[in-house]
Amino acid sequence: MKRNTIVWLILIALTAASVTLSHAEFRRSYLIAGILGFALVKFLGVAFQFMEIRTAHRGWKILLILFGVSFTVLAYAVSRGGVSL
Amino acid sequence: MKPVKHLIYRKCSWIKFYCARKGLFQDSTMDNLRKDFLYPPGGILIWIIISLEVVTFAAGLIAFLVTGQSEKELFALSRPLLDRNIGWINTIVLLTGGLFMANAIHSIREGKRKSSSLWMIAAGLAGITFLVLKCVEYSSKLKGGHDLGSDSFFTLYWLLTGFHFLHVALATVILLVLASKVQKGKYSKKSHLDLETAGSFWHMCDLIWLFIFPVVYLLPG
Repeated sequence: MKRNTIVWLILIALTAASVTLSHAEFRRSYLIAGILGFALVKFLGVAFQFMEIRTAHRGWKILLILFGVSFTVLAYAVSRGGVSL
Repeated sequence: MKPVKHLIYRKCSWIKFYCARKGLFQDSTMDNLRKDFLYPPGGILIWIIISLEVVTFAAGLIAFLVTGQSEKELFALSRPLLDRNIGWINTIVLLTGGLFMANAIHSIREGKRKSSSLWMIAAGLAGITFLVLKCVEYSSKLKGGHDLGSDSFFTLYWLLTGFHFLHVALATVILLVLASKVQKGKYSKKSHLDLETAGSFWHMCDLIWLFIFPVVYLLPG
């Protein structure tokens, strides 16, 4: 339970960081990368700790990391106007 | 020989699944079973559903971003109309519900039924809080004339958040029903796969929201 609480605190801190970042005045590409990067870390945090994927077969870990990273990269590319479907 | 071996293995898989559900395995056997690709936490069936759901929402979010590129002005004007405060509070509410559910599973594994049931009720209350806050947000959008057919931004906003809302509502009902079953002693230290399955469904709602919130509410227009 202690480990769950520590991960939860990190997730809350990352949420606060992403909301603060969305109000900041940086270059647009940095803002997009930061906000999506924090979302990816939170996604993996919930999957590995709360959903206990860290105890599952290696294949599930690889699949989740691949999905999270692919989605984040695609979302970043589309948001920057680099990809049009 | 190969097809016969494969058939036997498949049959054994179902036997293992049955034994796990009935709590017939020792703890060490369950730990070993988890290392099998076909036995992720909560069971393979819920993970097939989770995979399909997450990919579908991801496609919806990419569609949202692509539409945002073709209608930049509309999205730049519409995004500030969303209530970011409700958005981040709801993120914290869902993450807290996730912590409660993880603690509920931890408690039942230690044989603490009452504690597990209380954690599940707390997670259910987090779900209800999320739904109430979302209703407040939806009512303000409707009052402002931003309904499903207003424009492409709000059509996608309603579809993405609306389907997610339905998932959270279903997960909340499941948690509260299972909490009452835990109280009645229907689950034990050895037999609680249903709780793990419900927990995985609940956490899936977290996972989806963790991408909906930044993409729909936070990204710069």
